[in-house]
Order: sequence, then structure tokens, then C-alpha cells
Amino acid sequence: MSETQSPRTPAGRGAASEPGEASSEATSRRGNEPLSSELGSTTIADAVVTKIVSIAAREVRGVYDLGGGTARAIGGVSRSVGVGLDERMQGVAVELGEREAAVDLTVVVEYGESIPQIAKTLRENISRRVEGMTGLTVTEVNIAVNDLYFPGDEAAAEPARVE
Amino acid sequence: MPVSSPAEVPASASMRLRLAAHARAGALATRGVLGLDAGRAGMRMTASEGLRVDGVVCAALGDGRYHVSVHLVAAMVALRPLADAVRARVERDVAIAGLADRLGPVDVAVEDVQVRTEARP
Repeated sequence: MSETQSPRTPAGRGAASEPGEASSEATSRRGNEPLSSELGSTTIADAVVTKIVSIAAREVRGVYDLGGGTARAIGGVSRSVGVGLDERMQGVAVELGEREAAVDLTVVVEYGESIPQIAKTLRENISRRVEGMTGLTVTEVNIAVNDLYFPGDEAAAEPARVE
Repeated sequence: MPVSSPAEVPASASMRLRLAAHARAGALATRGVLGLDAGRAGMRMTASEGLRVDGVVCAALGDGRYHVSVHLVAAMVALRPLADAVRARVERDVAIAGLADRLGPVDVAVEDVQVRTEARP
């Protein structure tokens, strides 16, 4: 960061766009701008991109869950004992550069769905979400299908012993 | 004691604290910012004279100006335009308070994103 600054003239700066209403065109154009300038830098934490990827993956039809068996088991235990681990982080690993991101994803898909179609949709949706929100270019989305989910797999809830 | 508004900071307070309070208020007033994040250990803050501004780190640059870092929790919006909007709002609020010549670079760090219904831990 440069310490020699030109005088600030906040009143003369253009009005900032409403972030919630940024068009995809504006977003992609801004996405190529550097994250750092003499006015300051912008940092996006790894956890932020991980969460965006996780939410985008769960939006895809046919994806039942994220994570390998161990991660899901630990997630279940942590949930049951009230430890604040975010289950949305499981099954997602991201590697971030200055302008690009690479994603590794482990998913459980529902039996009967087309895995190639799910993989294609996952790549499209994750790329669109990450690029739209962060301006980072997603260079690769590596997908490992770890398990199949059969409807009715969950243990049937035990009937109540009292009425 | 945590500061929630610049009005809670006396005019006699340190410049660091005054700038941090204005930066906090400016960031929180930006649409798309859900909150500020002091980190797990609560160390991302500016403290002076018994007052504390969480989520904003204000450091002297040595030339009379201060480097401000704002650590925020954002809604699910485009994050770079949001960071630019936060920076612009902080600069505007600091200028209105008459402190523009003491403000150096404003770094914006998005530490987390949340959907609006999600509760903060």
C-alpha cells in the first residue's frame, strides 16, 4: 500500500452504486479491477468464498448433501452437541488467488439423478455465484461424488413412547 | 465500553477513536452490510480511554494520517461494489466530521457473508 496519497476529495467522487442492485455486467467489469489501490484494499476471506460455493452447490437439484462420510458425521455430532461448526463449510475447499479461485467439492447425489448433468449444473452455478459476488474468475470446479442418497435412507423416527 | 455511535465519543477523545467511530457508523449505514466482525479473539478493534470500537482497526501512518481497516459481515450481494460503497461512505462521513485530512487508506475486509435470516453467533 502506498503511503503517499493524493488529497482526498470525497465530495467529488462519483456516487457508489448500490451493491445489492449491481448488474451482472457491472459486476464482471469491476471484477477485473485490482483489489488494491491507493485508496485502500479489498479483502475477501476464504470462508466467504467457501460459504458462497456451499450455498450455490445446495441450490442444484439432485445434490443431497456436501462432504465425505467423516465430515458429515462430525457435522452431525457438532450439531447435536451445539458446537458452532458451520455445516455449510463441509465438503468445500477453495484456493484463492488475487483474481482467480479454484474449487474442490465433495457431494452426495440423489439416486436416479444424472451425475454428469448435476456436475455441469454445479460448475455453472458455482462459477456464476462466485464471479457475481466476488469478481473472482473460477478457473476450475473439481467434483467428487462421494455417495448416493436413497430416499428413506434416514433412520425412521422412533414412535413416541408416550402420547 | 463498546461504542455504538460517534456521538458517544467525546470531542476530546483520541483521533484514532474518533476516526474509528465514524468508520464504523459509515460502514453500518451502507446497504448490504449486516455487521462488523471483531474476530474470534475480539482483537480487530480500536480501543482508547476506556472506549472500544469493534470491527475497525485504526493505525497511525506516521504522517499525521491514519490507516483504517473495516472488517465486515455482508449480505449476499456483489462484494466488490459493496467494499467500494463502504469505502466511499466512510470517506464521506469522515469528511463531514471535518477529519478528512487525517484519513489515510481505507481497507475493507469481508470476513463473512450471511443470508439475512441467519443469526450471528
